[in-house]
Amino acid sequence: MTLLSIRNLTVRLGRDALAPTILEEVSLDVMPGETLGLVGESGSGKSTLGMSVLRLTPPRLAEGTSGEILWDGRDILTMRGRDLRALRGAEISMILQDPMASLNPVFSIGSQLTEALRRAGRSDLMQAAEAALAEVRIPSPAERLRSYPHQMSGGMRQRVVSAIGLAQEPRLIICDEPTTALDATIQYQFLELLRALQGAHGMAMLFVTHDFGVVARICDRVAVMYAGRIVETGPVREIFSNPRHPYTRALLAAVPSTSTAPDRLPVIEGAPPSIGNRPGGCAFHPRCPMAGPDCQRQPPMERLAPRHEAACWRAREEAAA
Amino acid sequence: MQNVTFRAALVLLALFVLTAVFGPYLVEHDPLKGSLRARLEPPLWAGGTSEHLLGTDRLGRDMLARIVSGARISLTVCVVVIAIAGSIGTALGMLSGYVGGWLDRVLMRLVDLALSLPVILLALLVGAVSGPSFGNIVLVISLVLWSQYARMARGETLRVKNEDYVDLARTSGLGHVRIIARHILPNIAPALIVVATLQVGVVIVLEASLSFLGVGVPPPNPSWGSMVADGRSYVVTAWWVSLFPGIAILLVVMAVNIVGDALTDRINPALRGRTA
Amino acid sequence: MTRLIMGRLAEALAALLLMSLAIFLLSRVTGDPVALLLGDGATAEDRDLLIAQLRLDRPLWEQYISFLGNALTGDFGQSVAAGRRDALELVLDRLPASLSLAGVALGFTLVTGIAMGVLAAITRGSAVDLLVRIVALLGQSVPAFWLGIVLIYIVAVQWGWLPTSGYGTTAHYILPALTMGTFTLAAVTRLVRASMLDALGSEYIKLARIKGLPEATVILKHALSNSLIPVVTFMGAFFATMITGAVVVETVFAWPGIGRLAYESIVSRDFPVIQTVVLVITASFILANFCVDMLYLAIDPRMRDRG
Repeated sequence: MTLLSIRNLTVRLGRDALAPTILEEVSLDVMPGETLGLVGESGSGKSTLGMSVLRLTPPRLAEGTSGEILWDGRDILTMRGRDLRALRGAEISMILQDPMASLNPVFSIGSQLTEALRRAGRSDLMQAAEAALAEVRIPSPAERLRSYPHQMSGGMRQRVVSAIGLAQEPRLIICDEPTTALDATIQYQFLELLRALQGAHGMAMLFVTHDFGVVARICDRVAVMYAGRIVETGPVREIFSNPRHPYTRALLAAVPSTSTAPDRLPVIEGAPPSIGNRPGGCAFHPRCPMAGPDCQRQPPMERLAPRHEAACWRAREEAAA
Repeated sequence: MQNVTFRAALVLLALFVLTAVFGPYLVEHDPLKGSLRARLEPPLWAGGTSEHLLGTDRLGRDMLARIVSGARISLTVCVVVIAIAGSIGTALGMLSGYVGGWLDRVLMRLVDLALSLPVILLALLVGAVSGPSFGNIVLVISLVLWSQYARMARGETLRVKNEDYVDLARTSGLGHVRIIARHILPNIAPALIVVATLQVGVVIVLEASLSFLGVGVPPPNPSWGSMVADGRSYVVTAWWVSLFPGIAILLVVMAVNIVGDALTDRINPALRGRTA
Repeated sequence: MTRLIMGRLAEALAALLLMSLAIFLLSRVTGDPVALLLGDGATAEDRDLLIAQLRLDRPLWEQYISFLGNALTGDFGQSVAAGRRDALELVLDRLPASLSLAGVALGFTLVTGIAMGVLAAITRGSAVDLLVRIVALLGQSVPAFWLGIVLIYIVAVQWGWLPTSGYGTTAHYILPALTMGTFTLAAVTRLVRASMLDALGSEYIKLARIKGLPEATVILKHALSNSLIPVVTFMGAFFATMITGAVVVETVFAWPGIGRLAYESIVSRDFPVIQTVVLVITASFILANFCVDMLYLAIDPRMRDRG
């Protein structure tokens, strides 16, 4: 049984059918309890995808959104006020990228946390809040409830944001690059924490990141995005051992493995196309070492192995051979 | 839409400046001389004659000529005040930012203080002592407005002070005065121009308010503010005497505000709406 | 925290001292108070006597010290025009009328300005937003003395809805408060609209929505609380604009406050009264700014941890 099912999601910059697209015909399933990694460079549309699920995209993008996002058989894109609020936080929650900006500076940690707990129908708010902070391993939680965001470090704030995200026991939590703004060691701790929390709560996780290293550490399955489309999906182990799309291969080649120097940065020829300037056909073809004339046409998503799909004419030929 | 308003405002401003500079040579009546036979004549469309398009005031002086002449007074006060307040404020602000330390702290306290001086009341005080005069209003308005340039110039100087080209000038042995004049001033000028633009409206309204209260430009000079005051007692019977100079102020100040906002948007978007 | 408050208090006192110096100098340097006080029919002897009496023959700094000493004991001299009445008493008599008008105007301005700013921000780009912005632009550009006359003519004379001028009933407050508040109203509206737009685009608003909070809570609690901080920052300036506007507005509407007193004193060249009005208003400015600083500490937790 699928938990979240995204069908043909297209997001344009405005209502106009000719407006530049950010997401094109994206289809994706999330199963209960699984962790799905959504990987891509900046500008690939991965964050917009995450935001779309909670209908949090800016008005111009919201106007240009079409397709379906099914949750329990109901389309989130057609939900209105009360239903949407019942979904947000309680069913699907989210951890944002920048912990320094995502807490309201004028309210205490306790106040911001109990707001979420109150919606979950908790009556013992202060105890529950204390327990929630303790669960994300914040030292002396009772005192921290009275703190304000500016009194805490980035890592601690991101823990608070996670506690808020989990407060209403959602079945899916979307993490939008939650570790990007953190120091490397804090990053590692935070990922461990997320994994432990997921184990304890049994929720599914949609993990948006540009970092395959993070994917390897935390995800079960991965979807690779390029220029607004998903180009390859499959189980993490399979993708790592047998990547089929040239873009996935390039990304993986750029991941610093434990033996290589950590300062080696990802290298792919050229830069990803900006929104509105995407080439026709397979958008990767100008940068692709294996591109041929047929790459002027958009390749369809093709099943190459039981749970492994890719959208690439070359991958298709290889599979057939 | 945004662009259309901006252009309209620019045209209006150009019209204001041209009127102030050339207008007095073009109108046929003397703004100071009236004829008692032609007192309180209504504008053309309200039963008046083409002799006085916008009517006449209680001394029979031509409203159009007085409004045109008032534009010149408004503009003169603006130019003089902005020149004085702008140069003093900019110099002190740059000094404050460049030197830093206790001088900076003292100057900035002074700026805070000047910002909270009650302009109109100070003008009343000065007016009470020495009567209305052009010099006095310029002095009082400048006394308050220099602080805005100082604050902006200081912040901008701090911003550019450590840029490479300033460092380069310093290491190549240029004197401080030259560094400030040649390398800092040109780079902070755009921000100061925005302040100046936004102040034009403030100065016009202040001058008009002071003249309205009788401590601004001394009569019989036709300041827009004193013209409105003149018409106050005749509002019911001769509405045009107060109405037209007020509309002139409103239009010019509105145009200046639109242009100032547009410049702020272009030069420093972070300040949008924050220039209360 | 206590240190912070004491620091602000010291600053306020220093400001008061400097202001009194500025007022003193302005009144001595730009004109001749003796000529003012004596009038036309005075002889040279009268003149010398008065100079000695006012100690105008002493050096400026000595004059200032005695001016300050007198001011501290509440002695601001006597009114020239109003039958030698004590200047301070005269001013204090008129103060309540001014404060009540400024209070009503400030309250109306803040409530309406914040409401309009919020409305414009949440309907950004709509007709409502455009309308609010036009009103704000007009409000920032219209001179108060003229607006007052126009309002009297239209609302009071033509329509006969409200009294033209004077003091007494609630109805008397409406036009003067509107006139006094218009500029500030426009400023508050623009400020709130800009800071609300910033807040609405922020991550913490996203987080508030992620929690599933009702839109009203998101806007009125999370966004507005942050948008009010700049309004508080400018409160001192708003108050200053109002009080300064009082001279004009009270004159136009014949409101028996200190603003009108100042104007009347100009007409009768009553120097001691004007000086007292200016000092009292300046002191109230400084007091207001001090209160604003305290309010700031109360609403912005980041400020409390400084100093």
